[in-house]
Amino acid sequence: MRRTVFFALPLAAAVAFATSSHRSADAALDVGDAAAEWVVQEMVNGDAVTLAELRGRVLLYEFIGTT
Amino acid sequence: MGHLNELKHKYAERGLVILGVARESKAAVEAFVEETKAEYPFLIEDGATRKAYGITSIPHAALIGPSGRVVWKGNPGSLQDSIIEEQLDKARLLPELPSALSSVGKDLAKQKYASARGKAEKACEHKYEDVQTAAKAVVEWIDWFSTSTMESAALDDEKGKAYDAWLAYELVADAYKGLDIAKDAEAKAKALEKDDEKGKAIDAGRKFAKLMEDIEGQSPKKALRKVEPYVKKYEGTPHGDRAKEMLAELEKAAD
Repeated sequence: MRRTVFFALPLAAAVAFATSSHRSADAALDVGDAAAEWVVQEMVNGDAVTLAELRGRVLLYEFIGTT
Repeated sequence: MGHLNELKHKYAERGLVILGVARESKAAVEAFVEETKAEYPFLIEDGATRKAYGITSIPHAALIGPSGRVVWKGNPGSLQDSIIEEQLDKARLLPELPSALSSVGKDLAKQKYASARGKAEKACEHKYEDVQTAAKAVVEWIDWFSTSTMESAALDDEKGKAYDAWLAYELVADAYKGLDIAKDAEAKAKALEKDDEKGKAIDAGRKFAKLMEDIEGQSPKKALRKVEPYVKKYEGTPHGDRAKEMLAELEKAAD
């Protein structure tokens, strides 16, 4: 199979990161930084929301690993 | 019941939204929800959000305040209620809109805040009190949002994120067109563009999306040829440096 940027790993993660947020975050976000917008692939247990829709509310992210 | 479910029950009404972030398959996340009885939504993504927050251990949580900025990061078990409450005290919730304000709702959804504000202001004189109350709350929210976005932009500028600051000023300039705050935002965006270093960072940010479009689906070799000149031109800006990291990955992949 011909390799493309889209399929090449681990490049895919680097490119996905770059495309999902076009903002300037080059280092990990820390306290005081603006939150990062996300690109949803799928939602489970609820409807998709955007960061912009949540402005004015308090958002708690839980990062999980199921494996 | 899990800790986060408890938090949801306790604070959802005051404006807390809980969002799980996973990168596994839908089936795996559904099984996780089943097992933990989580009562909040999960978004499945490619790991970009995880990477953006520098998450290396699980479980991990991040709390975002009403202004859209990170206020806390850590193990969810160690998140104290007082930290959440401090943020909830600053929360600004849009009211449930009565049908008389449905057109305001449409404007809000499209981020046409000047138009929404005009309509809501008129509705403050509406014959029904519930419409008046909602309209007043909308006007307050719209004014809060512009102030908060302007403050956020100034912070980003201070932190060397000129492009992010510029995006925020442009948002206000566009969404509040016709109001004084829009003129202020436009002037601030222009001032950033005129600054040599910041102007370059803004230019880099604007061209970045195009670069990403251009390389999607390309072989690493072809992508390399597009990323290289970008890095050459914009190195030293946040986006230029990010592209430089990508370049290193591309070089590895092209070998």
